[in-house]
Amino acid sequence: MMDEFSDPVGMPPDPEVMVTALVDDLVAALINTRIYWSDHPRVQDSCRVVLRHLKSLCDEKKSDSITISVTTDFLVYEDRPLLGATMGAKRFIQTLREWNSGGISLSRSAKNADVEALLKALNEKREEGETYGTINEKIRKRGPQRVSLLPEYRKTGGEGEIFYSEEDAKRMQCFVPMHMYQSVMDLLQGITVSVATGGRIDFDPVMEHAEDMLHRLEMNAGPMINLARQEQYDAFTFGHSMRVSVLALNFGRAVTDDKETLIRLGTAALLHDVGKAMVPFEVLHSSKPLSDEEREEICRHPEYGAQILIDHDDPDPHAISATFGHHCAHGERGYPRTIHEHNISLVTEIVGIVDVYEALTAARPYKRPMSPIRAYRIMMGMKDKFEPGLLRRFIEVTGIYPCGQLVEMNTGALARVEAQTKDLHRPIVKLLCDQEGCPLGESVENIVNLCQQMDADTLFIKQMLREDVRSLVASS
Amino acid sequence: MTAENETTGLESWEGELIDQFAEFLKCSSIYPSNNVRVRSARDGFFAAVEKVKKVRGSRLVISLEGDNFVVAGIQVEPESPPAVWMRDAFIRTALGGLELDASIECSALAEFAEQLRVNYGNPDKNYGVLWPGKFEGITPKELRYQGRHGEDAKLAEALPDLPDNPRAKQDRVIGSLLQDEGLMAKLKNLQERIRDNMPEGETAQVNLLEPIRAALPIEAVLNPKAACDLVEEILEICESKVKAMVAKENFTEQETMAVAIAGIGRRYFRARVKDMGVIPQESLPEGRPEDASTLEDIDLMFAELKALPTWDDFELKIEGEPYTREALGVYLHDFVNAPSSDTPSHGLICDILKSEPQHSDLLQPYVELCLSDKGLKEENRHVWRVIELLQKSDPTRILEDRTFLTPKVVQFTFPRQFGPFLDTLNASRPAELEQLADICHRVGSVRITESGDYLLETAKIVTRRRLKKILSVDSDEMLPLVGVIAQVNDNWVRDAVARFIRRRNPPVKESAALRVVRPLDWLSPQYLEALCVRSPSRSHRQWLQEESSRLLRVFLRDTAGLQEMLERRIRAVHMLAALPSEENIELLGDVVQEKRFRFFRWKTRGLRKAARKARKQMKRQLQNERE
Repeated sequence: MMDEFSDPVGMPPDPEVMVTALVDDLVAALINTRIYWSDHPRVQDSCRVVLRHLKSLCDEKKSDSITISVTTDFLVYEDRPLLGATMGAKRFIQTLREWNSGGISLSRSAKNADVEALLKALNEKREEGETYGTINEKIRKRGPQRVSLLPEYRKTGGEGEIFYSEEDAKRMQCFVPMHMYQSVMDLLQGITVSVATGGRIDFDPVMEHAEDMLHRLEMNAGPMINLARQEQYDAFTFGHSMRVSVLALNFGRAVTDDKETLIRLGTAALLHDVGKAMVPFEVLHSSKPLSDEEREEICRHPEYGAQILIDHDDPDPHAISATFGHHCAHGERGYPRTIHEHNISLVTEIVGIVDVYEALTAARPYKRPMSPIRAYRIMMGMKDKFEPGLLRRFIEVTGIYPCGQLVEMNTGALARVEAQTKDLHRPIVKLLCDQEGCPLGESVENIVNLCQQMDADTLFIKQMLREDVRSLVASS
Repeated sequence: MTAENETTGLESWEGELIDQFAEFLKCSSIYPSNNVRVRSARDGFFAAVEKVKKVRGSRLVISLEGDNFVVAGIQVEPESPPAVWMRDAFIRTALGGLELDASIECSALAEFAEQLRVNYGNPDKNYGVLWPGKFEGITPKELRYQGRHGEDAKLAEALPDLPDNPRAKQDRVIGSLLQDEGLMAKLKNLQERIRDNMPEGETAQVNLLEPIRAALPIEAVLNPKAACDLVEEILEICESKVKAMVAKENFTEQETMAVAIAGIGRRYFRARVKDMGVIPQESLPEGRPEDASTLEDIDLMFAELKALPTWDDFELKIEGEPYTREALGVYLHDFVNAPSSDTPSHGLICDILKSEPQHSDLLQPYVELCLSDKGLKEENRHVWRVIELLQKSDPTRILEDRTFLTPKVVQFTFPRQFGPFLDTLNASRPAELEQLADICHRVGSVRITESGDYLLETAKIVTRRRLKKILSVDSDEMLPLVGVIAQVNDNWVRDAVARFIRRRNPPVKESAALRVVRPLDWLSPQYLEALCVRSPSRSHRQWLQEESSRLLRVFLRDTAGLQEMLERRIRAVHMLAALPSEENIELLGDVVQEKRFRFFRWKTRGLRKAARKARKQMKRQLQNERE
């Protein structure tokens, strides 16, 4: 199995990327601790992920503990700002600042319970006069202090001016670089929490994110699609919706040029599983086989979703329809069952196709990802589930070597799929390394249309390679 | 501003330098280097540099500290838009500042500006990647945040339980080995054996500690002492292996031996560590690691793909009939499944039906379900909301045919379908009127009474047409419904209700007033309503009797001297006789004393006689009751 942070092209792991990833994990765990009760598997799992990455980082640094400091705008690790920090960093900084803390210290020997206690304390409402010291005191009372919050981070020398101030905090919004992936995850998490607590959904940011994704796809589809094929975060409902949206937009671009249509398609895809917020957590994330009642409850998520959206003043009817109908089938199968013969529009159909494709090709805690080929075969076997012509078109657009896929050529060279051609076997690829493993530069010559090779045997794809999402996040 | 700056005015020069430099970099990021704006900004920058150098010396340092730039030790707050942009650009490119030599070449400055432009859009934020070298006369500095945490940071630091780094533990194990004389002797012995058996000419250093260290799995070093013991055991095994290998003369290189030791050690440790119970056994997900990238079955997939129909001219559009029908279907489903019919779907359905009535056929299955036996099942009760919706706003008049409003349906949906049912009723057909009585019978008086408000206010059953149909049914089954109607305080309703009750011939005593009192608006709605109760309780009857007495007394008093009422008054007196009370006796006394009429003597005599007789009768009755 490939190491957590290893680069597929053979680059050594970058500690800064590792720290950034650790911060993301901490934020994911922080959110899980906010949403779920403490012994919920998602909280436990996310704390485990934090510890795993913490240990990897300690190993890499040959250190017994890791200290991450907070300045005006950035997280600082070993005096270097984490410029590649993500949306998670923003939330991390804000949370620490609320407690007047200037950083966090994590011991390699930290246990799940330590991380959990820290996150739980951070999520609590801060009473007047309480600071990071209050949290440390709570942790200390539990036992050895293997995790702790640090005092304000001050400049070395002089009067030790604090790196951040209130004015700086206002500017933070525009300084912290936001990565689309984390941003969408954050948005979807916010929607879920809002819906679960009876709040409202603001549709404008959802559409803005759909537009942003579309823009990025237009700029360079490869990394986006590849990112959409990964599964790293525990919060798979959010990640799933994001990936479905990216794949739907990618397919949509092939079947329409109308930007508004695409944005509405992307928005519908982002919201298609919003009803899962109403399904009890223990059912949705059950590690045991589901009972008939539990299965029925999960199957109600399209109805819940439609109901949630209908209850808003300005929902897009396409989002409502896709949310309701993405599990409907043309024949007897599918749900929810309706008294009338339910019409399934093309937008819903696309979301439905992409939803199944994503579910098959994504990793889940209980299953490994499936190759596109296997996924397509299964989908083609679902006779009355999809409109066959549309499914064929989807397969042709998405390809057996999806855009962004890292592949090994017959010559031993490494390449990344750039675009599909008429021949699904022979996409356009960008050569990354030659057969000796030497990286190739940015040159038009390295972009090869395998379909236009004079002799098809000259250069062809030998196999697909897996890679880790971290490197993609870092490079997106 | 510092005292020094106040006297020299240097801050403005340094501020100018920052502004000019920023202007140059910003222009360079937009225009080619030979553009007039770039050249002009560059000249401005050089001029500003010269001004500052005159006072600060030939070597200038520009650095970014927090929000501000520092030029030759003087802090400059970026104010102009280019300066603010330059600060952001520095941060984005991990640039903490620059050292400018005495002489800077234009070409170097242009190179630097170009590199900044490229780096600005580079997602890689590693300083070493972004700024691999220096430029002629310009040395970039990495952005650093050199700081320390507050005074009590030491107290706040997370404390490890033990040095937990695996490599540190491995080192500790090696350290333990080195201190163990017996072990070291074995090791030395083993190394010598290896060296002795090396081919001639091979003089490589043999160090078995390294392969042992490499062989130690992380799990094994969780307990250093146990690990030391295990290493000793390994060495013993290795020794016997070495002996065997030497005997076979099949190893020639130190590397082979080291690999052999590592292999033995790893296998051995794995086995032992399992016994120690420290290997975490994580449950792995289903499937194989290579599943995601397998190309298996690719030919089968292509064959299946070819079998699918093509849809090359498919173009995604988001307007049109299919979308409206799909949305209407979703709203309908939500409407019949929502906890209450008061859902936004109601309005959305009405809007669609109003603007595009052709889609109302989508509602037909709901109507048909209601018509079928399934429609009368409890789980489908909410489906009837569609019928109500259609009755209120159905442009296509789906429900024009009343055959679906059978007594069963009306009973099941009571009170919601009752109004429409009345409208479709043909009052000239006795059989249909019987159906109405049948519905009232099936629904029962309790439900009818409970639904009173709905029937009157929402269903609006009290229209002349509907009321006529209701009151034309000659059945006591209608009494509860009539009781509800009696609550309407309108004369015409009261008349109609009173007539109906009279026709039903209720017990004489309680309905006494009803039979003689005129005009009818003297009768209270409560009295009429009470008369419709089919099985009155004792207290209920008591109240009715008292109310009858009161009404008769009022009638007799108010009609005193009215000749045209004589006959009615005589009847009232007779009726009052059946309702004995002191008040009635008193009133009858008044009647006896009434003046006599000239022309109707025999009649007024009859009234007085009846009153006298009634008084006597009452007194006797009351006397009996007292005794």
